[in-house]
Amino acid sequence: MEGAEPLGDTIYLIDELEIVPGQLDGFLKAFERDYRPGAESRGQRLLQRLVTPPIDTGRLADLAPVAQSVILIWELDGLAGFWGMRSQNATSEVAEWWREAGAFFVSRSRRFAASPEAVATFETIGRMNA
Amino acid sequence: MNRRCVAQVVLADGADPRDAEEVAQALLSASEELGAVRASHASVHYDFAVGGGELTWDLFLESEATAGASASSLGAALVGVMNGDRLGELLPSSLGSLASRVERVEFAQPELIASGTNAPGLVGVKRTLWMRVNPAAPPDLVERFEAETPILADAIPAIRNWRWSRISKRGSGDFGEEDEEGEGRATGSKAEGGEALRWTHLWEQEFETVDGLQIDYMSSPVHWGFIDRYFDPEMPDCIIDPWLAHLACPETAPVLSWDLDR
Repeated sequence: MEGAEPLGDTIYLIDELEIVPGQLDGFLKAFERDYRPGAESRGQRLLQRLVTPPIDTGRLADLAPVAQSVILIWELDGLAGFWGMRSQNATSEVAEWWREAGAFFVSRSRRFAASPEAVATFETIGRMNA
Repeated sequence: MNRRCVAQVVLADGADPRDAEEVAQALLSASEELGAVRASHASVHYDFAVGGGELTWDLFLESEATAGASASSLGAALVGVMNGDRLGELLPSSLGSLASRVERVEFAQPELIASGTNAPGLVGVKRTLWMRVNPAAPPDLVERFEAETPILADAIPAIRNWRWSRISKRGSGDFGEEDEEGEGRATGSKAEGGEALRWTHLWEQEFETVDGLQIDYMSSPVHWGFIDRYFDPEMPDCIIDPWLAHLACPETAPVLSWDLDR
């Protein structure tokens, strides 16, 4: 795969976590301390760290708890970045993070994405020896 | 009766890398002399293979003609495989002069889920992925994984021939039921002592060239962006133990297009 420029097309990784009401700050602190540095060392670059709905629930103490989600958008350096990340994430430290972070969220999803143009490029590479 | 066997042969510690070629040749020679073997193929893995043994041995066994086979220890062992004996009791003690150079042979009897033969007679590259579904995986997720894996063959034309199988548990016990942390690696090396096979599924493909596997297969978005979620330990849908055996070898004869219905 060496020298194939299209392999540099960015792959995005999108995490979405529905946070236990009242646990947003705790999650974000744990995330910055216990997960982000390791993820970045595996080649994940954090592009966005978003909260939805975008409200400060601390100011809504008289209302019923509001379910908020955190959306994390990461980028990887193409296929080399993807497989580089995958070759390093089967560790006990990563497993422990997700196990312990489970106390902060109700549910989560993780998806990979690419631009439509990049999908076409990846499809082409995946059919080079058709 | 299932008559196909796929084995990964693990050389003994200290065995010379050249021993792998000799063992492959010896297995072929030995199996040619056995009446129970209709076809046999043994080949040494490429350097990039990880997680398993040094060579892959494919066998296609007769279901009835076993009398001649049982005349030798290897023949008796293979008949035992067909009859569902405990896998670990068969080899390497039955390998005769090879026994000192072989640590273990892990036999699988594939129970076919789906297959495709687009290039009958192809002599190319055989890749075998041995995997283990976590025993705690939700059955509906396992069912979806089994149904979706063949999509890879549809999406990646470089996969010429393929077979997707569960591995028979007949006679092999329940390896690793309490092995949720993947600590069965050490146990797996005790196959000679009668431990059961750890693997649950076998994903076999044939390519014309290594590039088909190394480039097309690894680049297809259907692979990394869809099916890999069952393998990625950070994905909520992950059900596959990270200890995989990703094995590939050059072929000297067709394997996946063996006419199993003859």
